[in-house]
Amino acid sequence: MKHNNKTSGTLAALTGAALALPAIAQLAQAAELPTKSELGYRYTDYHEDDVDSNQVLLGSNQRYEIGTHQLRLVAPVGERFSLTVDALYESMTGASARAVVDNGQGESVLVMTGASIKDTRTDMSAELRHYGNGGSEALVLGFSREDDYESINGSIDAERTSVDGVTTWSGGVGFSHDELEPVPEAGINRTVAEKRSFLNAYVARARVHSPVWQTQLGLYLGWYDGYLSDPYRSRDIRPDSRQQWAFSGRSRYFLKAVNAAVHVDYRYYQDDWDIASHTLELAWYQSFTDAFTVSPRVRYYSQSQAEFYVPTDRGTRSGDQSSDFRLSPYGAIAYGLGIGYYQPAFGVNLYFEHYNSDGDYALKSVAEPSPFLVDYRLLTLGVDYRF
Amino acid sequence: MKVRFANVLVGTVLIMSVLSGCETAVVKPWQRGDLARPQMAWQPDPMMSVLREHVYTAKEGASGGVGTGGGGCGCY
Repeated sequence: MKHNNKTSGTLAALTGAALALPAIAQLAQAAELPTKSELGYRYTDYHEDDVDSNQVLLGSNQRYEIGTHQLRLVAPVGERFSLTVDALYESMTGASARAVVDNGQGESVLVMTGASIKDTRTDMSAELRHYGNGGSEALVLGFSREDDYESINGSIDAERTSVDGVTTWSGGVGFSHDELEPVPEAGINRTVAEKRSFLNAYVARARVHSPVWQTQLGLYLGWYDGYLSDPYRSRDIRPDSRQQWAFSGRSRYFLKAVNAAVHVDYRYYQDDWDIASHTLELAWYQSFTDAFTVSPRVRYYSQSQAEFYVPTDRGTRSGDQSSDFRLSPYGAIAYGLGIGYYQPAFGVNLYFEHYNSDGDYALKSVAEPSPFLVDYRLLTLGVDYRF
Repeated sequence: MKVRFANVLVGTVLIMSVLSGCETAVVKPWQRGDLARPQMAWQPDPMMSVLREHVYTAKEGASGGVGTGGGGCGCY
């Protein structure tokens, strides 16, 4: 957040903004050294709709249910540093698809696991950020661990704001090294251990256009290398590398007459697996007082299929192939609603989202959508505390 | 179809350059009270944004944007 004390009117506006500030809020333009420590907690209940039982040949039709705990601590360290620690723990149960097969009548049906899959994931990261004249730099280190998956990751980023305070450039480079040890299963010939690495980078430019409008443009590049297949699917063979790029644009416009902020986010994505996607998200942050905010949102997503996506698995097929629905052509619409109540020392918030994916939602017509496309709903309850 | 990163990079730089030429007058610091409101942040609730992005990454073929991602699978 950009603070200034030039006029009493500005001070009043900023004071009002500060009073409404969620304890764990990302700053509007460039990062600024926090003056207080802040602690945030979120619990999310995530629930996927069951698969239509008529589309399941074998196994359970129950999909995932996940409970996620998140904790974030942001604290100033001296006069020029801040420390941010994120911790996440989630437990999941449910079934996943092992294969998509033809039922003999020309219809694709699923071979699912039993509903016995249980897993947990722990994710920790720490960011140390240095603040200087006109910008900041940060180092982030983290790890993530599941029963069958371990990852270490890190990144560095920096940002600089122009002397007139109107333009902020930011950029960063991140990496992760992941090791996978699939859970063995009697009678199934499954890989024992695999590795993969991931390198990504971004550059973005934020610009203030008017007293009520700012935008950000960004370019993202990602490179995967290593084992990228799904070891739990009966026949899943993917290339051992993947190159991604994405162009994104974000706009924030404040409507003074109704005391609301309009968010518009767009991303175009493409990779060398031949997936191209469009994502458009609109949100409306309505403030009824400095303390009470309601924020509905809608998100649209559409992707084309990977070049090696196959609607059904066949053991006789050679070369790269996968029936994973994430690689299939489809579209999705998500609706969300957030409610927040904030005081200087604390805040509470609630968020609900419903996500529905379908072949008919894709920008281009889909001849045969995957039978495993996901619908889910999630509910998050959060509390923030400043001290 | 292979992605040609050099072309993408050049294209993005051109887009940014064009948009840079469309800037409006400089907004003075004391005019930025509304821009500083928390609801005007790129991510008003970063914890929620992290979670939502994680779910989207787990369920969709595309990923990435402004910022560097962490690690881990969580590929439910």
